[in-house]
Amino acid sequence: MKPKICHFDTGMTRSLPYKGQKTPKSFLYLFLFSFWFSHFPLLSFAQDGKKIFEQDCATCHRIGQKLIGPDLAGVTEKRSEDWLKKFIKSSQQLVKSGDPEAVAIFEEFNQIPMPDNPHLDNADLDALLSYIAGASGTASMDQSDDPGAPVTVEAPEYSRNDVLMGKALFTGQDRLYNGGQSCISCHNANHEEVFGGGLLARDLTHAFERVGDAGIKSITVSPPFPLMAEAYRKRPVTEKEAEFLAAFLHSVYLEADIQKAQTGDKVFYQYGLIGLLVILLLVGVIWKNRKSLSVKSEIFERQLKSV
Amino acid sequence: MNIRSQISMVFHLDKCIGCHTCSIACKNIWTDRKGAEYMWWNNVETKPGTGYPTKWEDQDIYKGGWEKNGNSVSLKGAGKLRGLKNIFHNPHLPVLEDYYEPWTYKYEDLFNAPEGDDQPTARPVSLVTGEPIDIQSGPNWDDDLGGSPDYARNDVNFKELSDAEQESLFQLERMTFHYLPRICNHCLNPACVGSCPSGAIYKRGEDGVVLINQERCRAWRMCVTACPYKKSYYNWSTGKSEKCILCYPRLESGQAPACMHSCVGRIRYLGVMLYDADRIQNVASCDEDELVDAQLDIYLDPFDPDVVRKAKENGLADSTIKAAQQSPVYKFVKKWKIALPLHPEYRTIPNLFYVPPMLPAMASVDADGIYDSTTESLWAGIEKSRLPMKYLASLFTAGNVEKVQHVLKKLLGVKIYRRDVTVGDLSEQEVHRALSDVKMDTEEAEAIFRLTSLATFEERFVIPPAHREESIEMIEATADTKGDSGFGFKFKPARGL
Repeated sequence: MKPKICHFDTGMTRSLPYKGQKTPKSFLYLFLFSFWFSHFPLLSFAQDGKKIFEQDCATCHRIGQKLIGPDLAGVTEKRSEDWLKKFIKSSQQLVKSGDPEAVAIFEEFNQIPMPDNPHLDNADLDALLSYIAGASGTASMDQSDDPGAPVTVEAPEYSRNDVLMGKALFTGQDRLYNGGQSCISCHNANHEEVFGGGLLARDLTHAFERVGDAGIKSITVSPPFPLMAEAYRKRPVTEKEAEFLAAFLHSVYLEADIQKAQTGDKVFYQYGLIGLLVILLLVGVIWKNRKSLSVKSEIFERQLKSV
Repeated sequence: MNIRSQISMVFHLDKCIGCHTCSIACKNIWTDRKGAEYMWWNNVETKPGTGYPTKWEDQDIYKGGWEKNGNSVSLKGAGKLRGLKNIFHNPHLPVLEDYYEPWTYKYEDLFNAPEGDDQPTARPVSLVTGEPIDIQSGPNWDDDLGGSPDYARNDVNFKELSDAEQESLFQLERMTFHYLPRICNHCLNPACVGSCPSGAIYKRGEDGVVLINQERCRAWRMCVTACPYKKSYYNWSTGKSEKCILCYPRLESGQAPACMHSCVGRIRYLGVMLYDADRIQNVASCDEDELVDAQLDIYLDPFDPDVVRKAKENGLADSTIKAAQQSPVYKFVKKWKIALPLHPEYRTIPNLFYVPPMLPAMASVDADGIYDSTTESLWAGIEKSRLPMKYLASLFTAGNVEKVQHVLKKLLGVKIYRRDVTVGDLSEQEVHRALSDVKMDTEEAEAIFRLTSLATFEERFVIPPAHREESIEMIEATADTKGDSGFGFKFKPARGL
């Protein structure tokens, strides 16, 4: 549970008096109150495993269904509690340490790293695991019992219009409804009309293959990745938009083999070369009358000739 | 009226013998440092000639000075927008070749060379690179070469002269030259100050000396371009620009600047002029044919009680006003009007005035081809002088021939008058005509003669007390530093001292 530091901040800035002005008592109370309030959720909901699951895990995981990450039904029986806690805190650390089970899962799920959860303390983890254990009992165990099956790339029937809408949203031609940044700022997708996608985050050309239709939608709506989560925290992508984007990424995935990457390298070189020539030409014209030789060069020339 | 004082100078060109003692005096004191070897804050040129740096007068090449722009003036090659455009590469700068590559000789080779069949020689080495060089030119390479094809014929002042006039100047019997010693003009409207992007150049309030602050100079070299007289030089070693400082440390202690003090021909005069600073813009931006008169008008009569009162109100010391009243420059420039500014068309309002040279009486080849060195009178008319008047007008009056002629006639009048006094072989009528032609009485002629020929050191250099205490009090509380001052440097100079 993240302490809500913003309350503390607000209290501080408000409590800053003008020079020479006495701090009113009400500000002091407000300050104390907000400080207390900021710890309130931590104290009261720390043991609520369900809430933690929904907030931090549900984007990629279900209990009784395989999504982007593995099905968590019965996971508490399959793995030791200690191992699970380590994995939840930092899966990559475990993978890097060479733990064979962790590596196997990482490989199996298309090398999509599970984000770290350093904010969960031991009590939180206990609550979370007990929730998962409890929920596993109620969940039907007969779904997708083949852990080796790839993520499904089946998609609902998207119309041509959905794809076009998705493309417009992806490239930023249409703004996202809540004002979030367009995908192209950080992501690239090989498509003839997507020019110069961002390199800050993963290339989404084969995203559909990796996470599937449901994965794309859930990642888009409530991103599990810290940076993306932060970027869309106040301006979330709507469900409908996620659908359009999934449609677009599906079409990108299907056409990936026939699309050429639009990195723009060549075009940049060409424009750069043309620009350079234009600038050189302009310099030549603007400074045509510049003094390019020593004024004595004529004199020296004549003297050398006469020798 | 905003009256200020300005240290001004007069160089009497008829008296210059072209010995370069002034240049050497200046070099020895100020510019014998690394990076400054090529600089000649004072230099002596032969005219007609191309000067130093070569063709400095050609502002189509160097873009120096101001040009009229409505009721004001703007810099020709620098200024806000133009300066910004060229700030990282200024195409109008003179390059080292336009000055010359300074050199010395490897004298030690004369002593250390191993014994051989040949005499050892001291090879010239560049003072910039230290490598042996082939000397191509020097700062006065055109010295005395009045008719040379490379220098005299390339004189920028020939632009106004017709081909026939130019050719006549290069005929063997008509060839002539005179000298033109030049230092910084310490202008009233200095282009270097106007062009400096760093604000490093300033004109001293107390005496109008233009200086470059070596701590603020950022080597943009806009002043080198902007100064039409090319008297701001870039020191490649320190990365700062430098220029003539009018030997202000000498002035402050009551001594004449080194170049003037050492002048063999005693051609140099120095004194204070009072001027009206409010009129600078008007003068700088007036029409070209009014430039000289307008400039002379800006200098005020130091005997006028109204001027004296307002000068005092403006904080000028009594000693300064007194010095202005005794100023030889005031006499030459304002009273007798026989000294003219060099190239007033650059609109910088220079404070160095020249008494134009009265060239020697001409000789001619008559119809029989006989070289006749006598004329009908001892001094032929000014109209018949060897050098076309247009040439002198291009130097001193922005093309106004009449003005130059008038000055020369006045000088001739003085000579005729003195011939009458000392030899007495001229008719009274002739003498009277020579004087009345230029509306000069014998008293004035005598005064001009005396200040030209017999002036003492104190008459040639009337240096006002510098009143440094006042300047210092403006920036420092002197009581705080009482007992602290003395000899030595406040900051140790970083360059080669």
